[in-house]
Amino acid sequence: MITQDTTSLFECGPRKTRVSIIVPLYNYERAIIAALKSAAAQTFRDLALIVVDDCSKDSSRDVVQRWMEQNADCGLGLVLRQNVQNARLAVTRNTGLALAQSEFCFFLDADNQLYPRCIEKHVAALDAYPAAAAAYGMIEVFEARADVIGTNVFSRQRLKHGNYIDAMAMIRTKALLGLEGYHDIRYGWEDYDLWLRLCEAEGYAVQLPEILSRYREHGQSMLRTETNISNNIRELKENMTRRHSWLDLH
Amino acid sequence: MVTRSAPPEPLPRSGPKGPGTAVRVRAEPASPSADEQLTVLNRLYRNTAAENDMLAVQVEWLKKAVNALNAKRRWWWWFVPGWLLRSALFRRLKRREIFDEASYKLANPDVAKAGLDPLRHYVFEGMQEGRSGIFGDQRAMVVRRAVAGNREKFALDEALRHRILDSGLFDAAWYRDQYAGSIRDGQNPLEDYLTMIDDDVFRDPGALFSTSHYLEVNRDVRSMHPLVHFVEYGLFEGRRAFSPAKVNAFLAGGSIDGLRPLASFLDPALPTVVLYWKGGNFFFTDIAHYVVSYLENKGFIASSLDSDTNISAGGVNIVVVAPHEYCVHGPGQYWSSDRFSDAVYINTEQWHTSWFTLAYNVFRRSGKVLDINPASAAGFARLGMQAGFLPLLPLPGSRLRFERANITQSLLRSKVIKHLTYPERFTERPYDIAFLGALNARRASALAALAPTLASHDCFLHAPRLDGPVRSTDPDMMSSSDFAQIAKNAKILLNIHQGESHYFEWHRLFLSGIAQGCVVVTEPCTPIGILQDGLHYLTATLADMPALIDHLLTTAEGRDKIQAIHDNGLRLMEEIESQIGLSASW
Repeated sequence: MITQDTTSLFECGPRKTRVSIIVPLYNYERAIIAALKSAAAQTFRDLALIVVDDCSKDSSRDVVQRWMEQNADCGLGLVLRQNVQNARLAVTRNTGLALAQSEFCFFLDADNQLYPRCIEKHVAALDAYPAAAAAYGMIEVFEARADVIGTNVFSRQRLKHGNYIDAMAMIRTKALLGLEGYHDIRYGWEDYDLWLRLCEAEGYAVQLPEILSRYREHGQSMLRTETNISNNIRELKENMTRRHSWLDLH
Repeated sequence: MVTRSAPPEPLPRSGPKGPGTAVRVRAEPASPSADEQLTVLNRLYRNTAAENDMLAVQVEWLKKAVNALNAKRRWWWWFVPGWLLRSALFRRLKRREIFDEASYKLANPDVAKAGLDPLRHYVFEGMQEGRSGIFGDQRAMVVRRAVAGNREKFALDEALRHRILDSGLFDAAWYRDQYAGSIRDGQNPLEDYLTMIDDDVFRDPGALFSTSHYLEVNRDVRSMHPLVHFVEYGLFEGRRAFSPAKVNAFLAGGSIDGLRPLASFLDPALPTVVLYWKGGNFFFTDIAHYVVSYLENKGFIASSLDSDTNISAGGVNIVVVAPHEYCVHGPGQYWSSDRFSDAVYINTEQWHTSWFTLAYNVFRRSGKVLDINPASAAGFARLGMQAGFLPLLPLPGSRLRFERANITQSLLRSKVIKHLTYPERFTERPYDIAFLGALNARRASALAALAPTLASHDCFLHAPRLDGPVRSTDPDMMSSSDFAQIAKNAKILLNIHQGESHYFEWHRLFLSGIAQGCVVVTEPCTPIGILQDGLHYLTATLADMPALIDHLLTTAEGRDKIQAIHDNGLRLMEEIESQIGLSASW
């Protein structure tokens, strides 16, 4: 698994918890506090919050550090690391994963948010479904558009034609390490690539038929910028099909 | 943006009403407001402008193509056989690079998916269909061309007049009443209507058909009067014709007074054949089997079949479930006119859909139609047809009775399902809210708006995005029996309409909801008389729904309320159970 070296900026509380919420951070000073607050407000408390800053150019890092200092007594493990060099999303997530000492990891991007029972429900799902490598809920899309995603069940047949499962999911740490974490893919779609590799390893994710988190869609979302420019899409599709020959992307 | 719809007029609250009790509600409202008219006009203008742009792009491309093909040819060209020549022409067009294949494939994923040659597809089909993407994104054309005033003049001959009147959509009395004072002297109402189109696109022929809506949803209809187009072509092509808003008002203005039970359409001395199309939606097959149980219950000899080709004329009652399938795609498409006019049809479709148009074109040929929704059946009666209501009830032994059963293994594996306890006490049901409905843009934005509320309760939301026809093997397909198990363990069944129609979806709200002991919380529905808002189910606009749900689930007063509605549902089901088998009832 490819990770990045980091420097530690803040750490308090337990890291050996049942669940780690991993937050890759890059230039989201205006959104990150809402994400952290939503994580700290979880009903499930056996939780570590691991933020990995990927060399943000704004004040994201300071904002998080201040928030962690002020909330050191919130009862959760709090970790803030900074990549020694910008490593992009997939590697930053892996870096968080490598720092985690939990049975389950949940991936929360810095501009998204969780509803209070999100982690509790995901943990219950993985406890009840030992054969599932991951669990994902339905997600409310907010800000630029009102929508709901993550409404279909995990299906190799459906994934063959495109992704419909976001990265905001809970994955068994062991299973994710077994898959060598996320792979860095130019222009994005590392989450799609992960689900495809899970299919290839004969694994699956179970769907939680409830809305448990929020996905912010705005001009700066990766989906709206890098990934969806038509030339990049063509390249991404070709790249994906090279990696997974069974795909049928058009 | 979530569209908020106004609540319907409340029903008269005179206590519970048994089956068959008459409820007459208000007549339809006046014409759309100035704001609504402006919105429609804006959309019509944008449609026309977009069409002009598309035509301009085609003209430019055709010029380039003609120039490319006219370029100087070699001497041997004239000796090339025809079939080879065609390929050579395509190769020549490709060489000249006037067609952006990649862009075309991107704009038309179905072409790419089908593995078709983009250029050939464009020339043979795409151009006529107005496909985009031929020049690539960077070359979007902006050329405007006025086409207004080109509508064909038509002659109102007897045949056309007959077809229009036969469609049931022109209502002279309604027209005179609605446009009193503005009908030109000496004009009969139909001619007045047909010639007013250029002056007033909002002038309608009756309470059901909306002239402006037809233009809006059928963008290619520019050269004919909308109603003339509909009776000449639209009916046969399955064009969407009825606006949800007008349908809501039209159905609310109907009466279930004179609705007849299915048995009254049939000769009890003859056996009955219930037909369904085997390639169709599996729900309709279930309905066909159900109709057989229903008729047997009433002492008929009945059987369901997927073909009537071996059944000779006479000596049998014929009932067709979902005529838009059986008589359009199935064996019914080859029927003689006698068979069409003898059959009794069961409509399953909502009025604003293209399926409904196809069904309408079939069942008006006999004028004998039943509907699974009483308000819809009342609408047919209002159109002058012999109309009946077919109640889908959980008859013992029928496919619509969902007993306690195990959940399908595939569903258990793919979706997190709570431990189902089937508690005696309603308040102990493990799920607070259940939802079942294919996701579309409207439902997605509605669920997003409800998300903060839904997230604070225990939900089972089955809302898959389905692309293409529904197959029972789709991993996201949930059987009625599976959903019924969830519903038996849920307090509230949430209903969000698929569109702007307020259609009361009987099978969803009644069979999957009330019959399973759920309290239905829905957007406002067209009143159906038999079930009453506030007594058997609860309504709220999408804007008011979060507050209502929280009230029902978190306050003592609210919990009393849902308990009371649940108890009313139980009583209703007991009443229905006791009437099943009595020939006087439906």
